[in-house]
Amino acid sequence: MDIEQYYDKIYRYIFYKVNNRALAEDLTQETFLKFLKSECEEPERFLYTIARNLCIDEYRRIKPMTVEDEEALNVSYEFEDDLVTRQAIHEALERLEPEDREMVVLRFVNDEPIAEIARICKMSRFAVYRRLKEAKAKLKELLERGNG
Amino acid sequence: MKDRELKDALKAYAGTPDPFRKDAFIRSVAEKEKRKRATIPAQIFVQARYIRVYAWLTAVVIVLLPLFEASVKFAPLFKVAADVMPFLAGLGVIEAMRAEAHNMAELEQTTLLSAKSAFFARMILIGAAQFAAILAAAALFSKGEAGSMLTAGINLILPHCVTNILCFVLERTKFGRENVWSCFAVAAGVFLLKLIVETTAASFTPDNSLLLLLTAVLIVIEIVEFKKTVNTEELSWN
Repeated sequence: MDIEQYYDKIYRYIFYKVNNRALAEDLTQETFLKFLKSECEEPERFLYTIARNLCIDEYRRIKPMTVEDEEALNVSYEFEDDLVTRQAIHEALERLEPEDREMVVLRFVNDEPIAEIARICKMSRFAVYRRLKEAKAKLKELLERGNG
Repeated sequence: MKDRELKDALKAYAGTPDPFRKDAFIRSVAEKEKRKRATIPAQIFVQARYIRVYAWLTAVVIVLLPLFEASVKFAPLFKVAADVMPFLAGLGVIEAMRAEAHNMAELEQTTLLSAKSAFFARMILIGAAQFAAILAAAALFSKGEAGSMLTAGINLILPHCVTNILCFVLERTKFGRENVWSCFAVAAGVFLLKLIVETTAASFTPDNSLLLLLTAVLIVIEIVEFKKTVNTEELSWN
């Protein structure tokens, strides 16, 4: 398996769950190590499953970090606008259902096809398509009106 | 807000992982995987899948020959088996050197296992299969009698060993590397030599212990030549 091909995708998927760069990187690497031990033939789906399970374990262990927490860890952003946008995205995503948030990340951040998302989320393609459409509309609305 | 803007904003929010950490991780995993795959049993297991069916079938045919013994006289069938031995050995070397035969050696040299390991693994597999076939055939021809089993085994192994040694020597030369199929010429040469020895020294019956010593010496030479051939693969790469 070509780790390079999946590394960024898994990192982003985990980052959206834990909201902490260092932790996301640790869990990304742990995901690949677990996957390599399993010697599974179907990387994409199992990588996401392993990553999701690791995030659940992490949730149980510690409280997930917010954008402010990350700021406290000296993660600097060049522009104030950038920080405001990040805060808005974070809050808008927090308002989505966890399953919808996961589908949004898989589709719009990792560019996964609908069929693959359906397999990862164990849903029909139609259900994924419908929920993604609703989640996207909600996300746009929240971002446009500043999370009102 | 357009879809493109939403996507860009979401992607920018996650950012990218630290490239140095990512690179270090990928390197360490690749190194571990390489070590895992570079073990001798792993190499042999990988190569076993790539050896063509005819290489296994030729070994099986040698074992099957004694089974027809009931319908045909013992001596001709045993002679057939012994006569086939040089060709069996030649086929084995050709199969092990097939990357050279199909101009794929350079590609194989760049793989994780290296051409040296691939050749080593293939030759070990084919050699083991042929050796097991020879032992089984010797046991079947002699019907389990220890004395005649030893004679049968020596008669089968001797031409095999001589062919293998000559093929290894040939494959290390420039001509041999460019013409892998020349192993068949070597096999034909050994076959003719065997016929000449059989006709000119028909009355001479050598002592079994002498033949056993000769076989042992030839096996040692074969191992040395095999090792040299394996190392040649590495030298040609370096």
